[in-house]
Amino acid sequence: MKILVVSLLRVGDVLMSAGVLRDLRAKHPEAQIDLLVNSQCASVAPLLASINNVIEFDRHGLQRGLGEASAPFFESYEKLSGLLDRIEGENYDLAINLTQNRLSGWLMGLIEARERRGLVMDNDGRGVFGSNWFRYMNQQIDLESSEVFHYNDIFRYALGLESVHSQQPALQETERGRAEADTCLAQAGDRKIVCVQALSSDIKKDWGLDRFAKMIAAFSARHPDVAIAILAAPFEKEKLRPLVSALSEQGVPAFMAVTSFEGAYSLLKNSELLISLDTSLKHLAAAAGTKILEICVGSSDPYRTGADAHGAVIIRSKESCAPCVHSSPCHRDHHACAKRIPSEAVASIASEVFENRKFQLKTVAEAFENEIEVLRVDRKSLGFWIAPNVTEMLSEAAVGRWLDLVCRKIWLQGSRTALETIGTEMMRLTAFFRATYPTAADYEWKHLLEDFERRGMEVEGRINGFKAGIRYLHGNYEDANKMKEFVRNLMTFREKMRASPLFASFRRSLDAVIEDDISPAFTRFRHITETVGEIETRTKIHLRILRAIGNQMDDAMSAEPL
Amino acid sequence: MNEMSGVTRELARNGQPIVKIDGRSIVSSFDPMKEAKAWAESAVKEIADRDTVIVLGAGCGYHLIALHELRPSLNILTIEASDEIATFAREQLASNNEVDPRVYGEILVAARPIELTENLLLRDFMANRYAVVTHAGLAQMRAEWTQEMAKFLTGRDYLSFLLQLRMRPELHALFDEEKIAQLQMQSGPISILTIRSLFSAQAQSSRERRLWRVLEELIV
Repeated sequence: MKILVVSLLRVGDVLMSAGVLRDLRAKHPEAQIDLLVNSQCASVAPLLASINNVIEFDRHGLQRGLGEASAPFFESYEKLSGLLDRIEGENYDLAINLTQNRLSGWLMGLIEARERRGLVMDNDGRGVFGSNWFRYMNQQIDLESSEVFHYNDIFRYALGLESVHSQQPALQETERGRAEADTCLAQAGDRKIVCVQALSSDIKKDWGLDRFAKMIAAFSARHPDVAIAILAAPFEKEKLRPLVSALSEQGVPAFMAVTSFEGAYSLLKNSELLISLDTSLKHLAAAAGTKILEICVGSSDPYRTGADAHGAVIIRSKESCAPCVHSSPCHRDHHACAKRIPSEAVASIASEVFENRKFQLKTVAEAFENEIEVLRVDRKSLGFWIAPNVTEMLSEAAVGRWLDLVCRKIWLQGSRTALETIGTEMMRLTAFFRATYPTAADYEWKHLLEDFERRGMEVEGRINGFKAGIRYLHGNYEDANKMKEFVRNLMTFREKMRASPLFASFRRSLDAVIEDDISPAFTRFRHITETVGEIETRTKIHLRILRAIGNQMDDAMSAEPL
Repeated sequence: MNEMSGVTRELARNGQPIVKIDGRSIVSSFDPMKEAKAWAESAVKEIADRDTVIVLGAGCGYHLIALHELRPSLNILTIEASDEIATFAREQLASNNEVDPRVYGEILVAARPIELTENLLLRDFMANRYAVVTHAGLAQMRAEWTQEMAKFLTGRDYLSFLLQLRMRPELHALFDEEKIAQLQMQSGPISILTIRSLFSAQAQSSRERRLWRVLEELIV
């Protein structure tokens, strides 16, 4: 079997999906698995043990050929054509697109493979996905952060890898990497090492070197026996030199570790903790099994691309504008979200993570709760990546969000799987609720679940009404007034949904049909029918899960207090 | 053919032969080879991974020698506007490598792009992945010729676009002939937007059209 994986984003995205590639390899041990990446990502190829061949997509070269007046006009065309000939020559059985942009979609449309998953643009420019999960991924760009699944989970579910539990590391060490790491380790002597990645690829995601200096000094005061390795790519060296000098002047045992990705991976394997901004280094640390503290600033969105490592801790600014839109400059006159994260808070949290003190982490988070939010990655409880706030208390919003995520997952997996897994999901959720809200009283749970169930039944009733409306509209969808009236009713329904944390995500599905006043009447009618069908199915799943949890908790309550 | 007047031969300070046009030297009058080596080093960066290069301007031939020394496997074709300069450059190349001056490539003489449209050697070169580089001294002294020729050689004017299409019949067949003819009226250079407008209605689902859509995503 031959598999081509297309990943045309940045180095961090390629490294993030290394675990997915490992699981793909575990599922297809004999397959030839090739990876198509942007040329600038080819430097991480030696780390990717699961990949047979890395094929380079020379994005910059193609852009240069098209844009520069001195370049032969047809050069990019010939170059791309040659690349596609090479890919076609491989006769891939399966092509997987882990990228959700139009460029990759058009490219996938040109790749001949027996099966294609992920975004493929058809001749008319419409996206075809080959999986509910990839369709969801394409739509979820508009969703609130808390309503989304981590990209790695989307890939795993879309590729049927959720039951693959490979014990192999996602990345492999290289000779070059070990040699680079050895040079760094020699500087640390016998001390334990904490690595710090203080610069990111986007100035908006930077926290500020002065804040890093204060944080590291405070951390070091608590852990004088720890060496601090300031990670630097060769081009970052000069920018980071003042930070290392300032730390050395304060007596902090800090040194600069200038490495390639291979060297950084080997160094991280020998380190206790990585304190990093939203950079590709956190994905290296996740693969290396090193503890991670991620500082989310600017457009960093941990819910989609956070460190995929159980126990990783994420600090987010509570500034109202964060997270902001990716790839547009900060609109404030000062970097408010970065400024709001106190150095002392990061140092304290880093210290707790370093010492594995989970409960003290909550205490520190509570002390700084006006400025920051502290999330802890949990990969085990629900079977997928979640990052609950460590100070989270039982509330309608919190419980509704977890329930909705699980129900959405069941729905995306498809109805047959849903029936089979509902029991497992219910038990996982119950255990998760017990662990996350240990002080919640029985009556609180009973009240909350009954309230959710009552609202679910209300939604069910409304949906039955809409179904009757659709039957009527079936012969009248070209009557603009009747269509308007139906959509007005949907709008009223959407407003009611907005108020309920459990069903709030339904409004996203409704947005698309309510705001679509361009499509022809039949297309709009078809979309309405599909959306009402989706909400009906999802409501049924919600109600089944709620009732199952209610019963499970009733049983538990009769045995022991919840 | 020879547009140049006042071409004179002299010696540089280091004794190497050079030419002057209307009293102005087209290369360094101190050390032309040193200058040529510096030019070749920057040209090689522009050429990157290509095996074929078209050089605009024969100069005194020193830059062609330097280019060959840096990348001996490079296929070089030079285009020059002046017969006299081309002859001078050929003499320098022959005296530098008496055994086989062909390693420095051919020098074609053309005052205007149209003189090159039927040249088979040029077509062979243009059928490969090639780069166009310009001799620095000439780019300043004959800016108009250089720009016009570069536009032609890169396929960004109407004439050379037609030439390029002749070498790509599979693509040509997908274009609307009427729209191609209308390009004569277009004042700006050929761009990816031009290509988008040329595909016929029947060609919208072709492999080539979809391939250009990928390229459009990189630019538009």
